[in-house]
Amino acid sequence: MKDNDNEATRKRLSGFSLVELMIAVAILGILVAVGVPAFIDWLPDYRLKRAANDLYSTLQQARLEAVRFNSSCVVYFDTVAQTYQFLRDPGPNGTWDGGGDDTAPRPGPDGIYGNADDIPERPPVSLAGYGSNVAYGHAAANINATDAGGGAFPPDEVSFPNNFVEFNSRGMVNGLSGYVYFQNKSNYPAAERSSFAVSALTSGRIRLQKWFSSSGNWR
Amino acid sequence: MSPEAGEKKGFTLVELMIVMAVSTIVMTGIYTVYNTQQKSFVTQEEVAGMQQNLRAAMYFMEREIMSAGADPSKTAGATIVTSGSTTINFTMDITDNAGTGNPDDDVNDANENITYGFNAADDANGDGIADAGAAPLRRNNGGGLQPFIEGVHAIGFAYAYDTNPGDGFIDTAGGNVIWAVPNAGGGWNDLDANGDGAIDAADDAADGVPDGVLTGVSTGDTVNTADIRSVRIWVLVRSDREVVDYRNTNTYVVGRQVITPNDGFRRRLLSTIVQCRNMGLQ
Repeated sequence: MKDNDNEATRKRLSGFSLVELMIAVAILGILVAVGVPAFIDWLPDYRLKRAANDLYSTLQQARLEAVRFNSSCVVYFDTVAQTYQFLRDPGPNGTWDGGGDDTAPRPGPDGIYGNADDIPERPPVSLAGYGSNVAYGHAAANINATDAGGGAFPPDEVSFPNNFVEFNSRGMVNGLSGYVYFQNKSNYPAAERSSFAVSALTSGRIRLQKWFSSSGNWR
Repeated sequence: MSPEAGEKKGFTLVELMIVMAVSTIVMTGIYTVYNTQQKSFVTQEEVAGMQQNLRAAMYFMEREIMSAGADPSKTAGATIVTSGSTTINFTMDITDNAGTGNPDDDVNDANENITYGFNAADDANGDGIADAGAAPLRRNNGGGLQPFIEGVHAIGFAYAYDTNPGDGFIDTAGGNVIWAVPNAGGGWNDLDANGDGAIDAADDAADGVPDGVLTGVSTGDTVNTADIRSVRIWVLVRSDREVVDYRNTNTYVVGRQVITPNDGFRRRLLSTIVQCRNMGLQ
């Protein structure tokens, strides 16, 4: 009786056996082996989506601030430096000229340029900062994201004239609708990349679309 | 039985099965709620998008059509040029050759000669309904028809006029303002065939030809675009994609067209009346 008790107590207090541990480690290894490639595939898409969502928010913000301050706001796309920038003031020369003096600090409360109260512009957003080679581009898409579909892609992947979009104080886009294309994994073959299109329509509507190569359309 | 044996007792199979059944029910409930919310979100996003398009389309057209015929010198000849049931072309004298100064007695400067409508590629038969279900509504200010609002399903115009200029009143029939479109014979057809004051699907049967198109009844008046005093605009917009679990079988009357879609797209119809304040000034 006493022996039996000891036997039971010993069994109850014992840890895992070596075999149990090895089985657990083996299962864990299999799970990791399956999971890591999936994660590696997923990460660049996640980064691209983040970049597209950030631009979407920036455009929304530009539109809302244009209405709020009753003055135009611009988002300027620099396809060479792979950046874009939100601009609130056309600079000392008074006209929107993209990367020119638009990026100068805008006047502070006194309304005059060059004084100490000038507010610095927000720094440009760099696409490279998202990782996974996020850049301007349309991956393997063979039709553009306009409603009509088809048509050529803009050579620099930004279809806004002069590469900037201006929201006016009525919350609409000055001029025609435009599209901006983002892709990831720029160092891989086009078929392996993903692509998003962010657009601002004349009506002021801002859209985010993803390229689906399986069905061959943007949605 | 010793206390020790009692402590070691685990769950019975029945207990486990009950737990699994209960958690399945709870998880199903949570998923259903999530799914409903997700569908509702997608739908609202679509509706908000097309509402923005619709608002902007109306805003642009109202603002410009209101100025149709603006002619401060009365020598520029500004007027409504074409009064179609699906397109409108009008002129005004609002600026100079540079596009920045005062009116200069002509209607050939920037934004002085405007056309609204679909282009022929999107609406081959010219009935005001986009052949592909949705197309950009276009605006021409001299450089050809440029797309300015996307996702428009149908567009329609009708006109109120004053055939006896001088009395200063818009022509009426049975106490209702006549909203007319030009017919093939160069006269006006009143869209309100049954004379109830509303332009709706009932007028399709009343005009004698129940074919989904409001033919209207001839008013006996001849089309003279200078007589036009007000323009009525219908714009029907469509969502970008079909919404899950939704069947659109509503009837929309867009100008002359009675449209009863049977698909999953959300739609929104807006109709407005623009008074052309410069038309008819002596």
